[in-house]
Amino acid sequence: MPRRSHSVPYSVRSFYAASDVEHGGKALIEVAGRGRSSFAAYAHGGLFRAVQQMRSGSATEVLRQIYASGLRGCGGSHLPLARKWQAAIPYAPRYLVVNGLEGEPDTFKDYFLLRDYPQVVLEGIAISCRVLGVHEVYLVINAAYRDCLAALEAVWQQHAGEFADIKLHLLTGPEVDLYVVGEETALLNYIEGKRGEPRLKPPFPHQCGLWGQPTIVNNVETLSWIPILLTDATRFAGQHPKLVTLLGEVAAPGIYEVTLGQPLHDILQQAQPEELSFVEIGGISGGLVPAARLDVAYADEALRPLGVQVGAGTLRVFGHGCDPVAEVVRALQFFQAESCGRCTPCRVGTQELARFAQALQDGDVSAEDQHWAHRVAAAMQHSSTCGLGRAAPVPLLSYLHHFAEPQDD
Amino acid sequence: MINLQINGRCVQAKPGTTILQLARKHDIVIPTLCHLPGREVRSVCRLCVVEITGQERLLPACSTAVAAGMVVHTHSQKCIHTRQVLLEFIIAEHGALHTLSPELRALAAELGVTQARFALPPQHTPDCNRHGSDYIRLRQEKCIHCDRCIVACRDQQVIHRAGRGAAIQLTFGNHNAALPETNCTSCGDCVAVCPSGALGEHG
Repeated sequence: MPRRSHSVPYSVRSFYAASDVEHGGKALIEVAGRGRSSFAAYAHGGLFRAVQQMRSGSATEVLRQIYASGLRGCGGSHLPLARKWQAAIPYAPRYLVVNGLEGEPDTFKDYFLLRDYPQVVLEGIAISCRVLGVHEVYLVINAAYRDCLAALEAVWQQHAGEFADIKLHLLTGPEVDLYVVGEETALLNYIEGKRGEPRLKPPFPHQCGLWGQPTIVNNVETLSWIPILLTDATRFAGQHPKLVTLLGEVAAPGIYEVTLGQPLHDILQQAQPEELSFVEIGGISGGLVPAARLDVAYADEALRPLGVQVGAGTLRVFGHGCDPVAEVVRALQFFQAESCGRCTPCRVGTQELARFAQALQDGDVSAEDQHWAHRVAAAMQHSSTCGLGRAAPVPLLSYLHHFAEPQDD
Repeated sequence: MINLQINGRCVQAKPGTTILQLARKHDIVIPTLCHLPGREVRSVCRLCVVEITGQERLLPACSTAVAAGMVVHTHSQKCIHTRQVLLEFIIAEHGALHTLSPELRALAAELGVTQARFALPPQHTPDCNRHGSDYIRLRQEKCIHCDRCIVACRDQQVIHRAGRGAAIQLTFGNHNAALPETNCTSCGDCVAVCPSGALGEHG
């Protein structure tokens, strides 16, 4: 393989690497998450309640409850799980692939679940298998999360009788170049031992997925909510919970459980921001929003006019000493280095936007250059094969919209 | 048969027909680059993207099947603007317009693109081309990654793409081998379809 000529400006472990040194990572995650989350409450009430409860009820009834809850995909798409499953079930899915790659920099919600609540994760997977009629599961986790493997393995062995009809393959993702592999079809290629780049859709994985068989791909967090919704109906009564990774210049960084639609300010306040100049919403594939515009609900509908999304639920707080342009440059360098290079708009567009962002930081940009950057961004968003190419321009566009260009309102 | 509209015309097509096949049948010219008739469809160049009413994204005509009631525009402003930008990308990656294949030069003329307004910094090391053979000459720096050589090759194990982002390159064999060490038979199919001169013949 050729040597990498670009260093990736983010580390998948940056948050924990930093917090291990400064505060002790484990303590940090407990402050933020354990004891307060629905998962803690579920564990407190007795694990494997949902699986046992299921034994007495029918699979159809459980499926109805999952659909009725309105559970959405928590990996970033936010599409209703019911829609995905309803489309897949007629094809008689053969495999369930559970995506725990969590390649989005500074995102640790799946790590939180895999490390602190492996039972709940596996319970969610087992229930999904039963209702979908699937007997073979691939759980692929980030290679940096390999400290979770032993616990996952142990829990599975411990309940071997319970899960006798399900075959679990526990895999770790690639050490490098993992960002695109988080895309569902690229993940299928990775499992098959092929190059980690997206496949053309259609056919969708539920039609022709892993080894050419009908496959359902879900995020770790999505499936982990299933035991909760089956045992605590109130958490999903007209609302949708979500884990967010809240970090940056805050006194209490960590994983927080929030409710979609909650005021964004309230969410940020939990982590006690020291000073707040702007926030990156939705990870680096999300966008930068200045403090003055944060008076919105934390939900896709409310965030869309700001040009951002909930995504995987990452919120990074920046103080007055931070330069938003520097963040845009970092984000685009990341995308440039991670683009799989399969399609022209993403492969060349990320390089060109990274160059433009650098020029922007150097103050060397004309109105014509800016117009061109908008055209490049539009071409990438209209014609890229997968989400990387469509998301890559977002940090730059949000910066131009909120910080650099005159506002109409 | 499926009823749909293409550029304002009501037409019929068999299920499974791609938009590209339909357009060609009705003498509508959609530019293509990576598409080779009869070979695996990869949709990597994205030059053939078309607009479908009700969809925000453009879709590649070569791999999108027709559907009942579909309203297709092959030459909307959005399609043309996107193709112009993509063509500039390809020229920037290749280095110049005049050494690209005639069909790409004709397309550039049609779209009014004469050059790329930017250049990509050189990424390739001097020895990146050492893996060619006595018959096939490799010039990584010219490659526009259209995947034509990959789909044209009779042996799926010979030509691959490796690396990420700007560092992407063609490699041979399963472990970045030199061409003579792979199953390559020097048949020249890859050279024949290469539109950029990244793969050529010696002499």
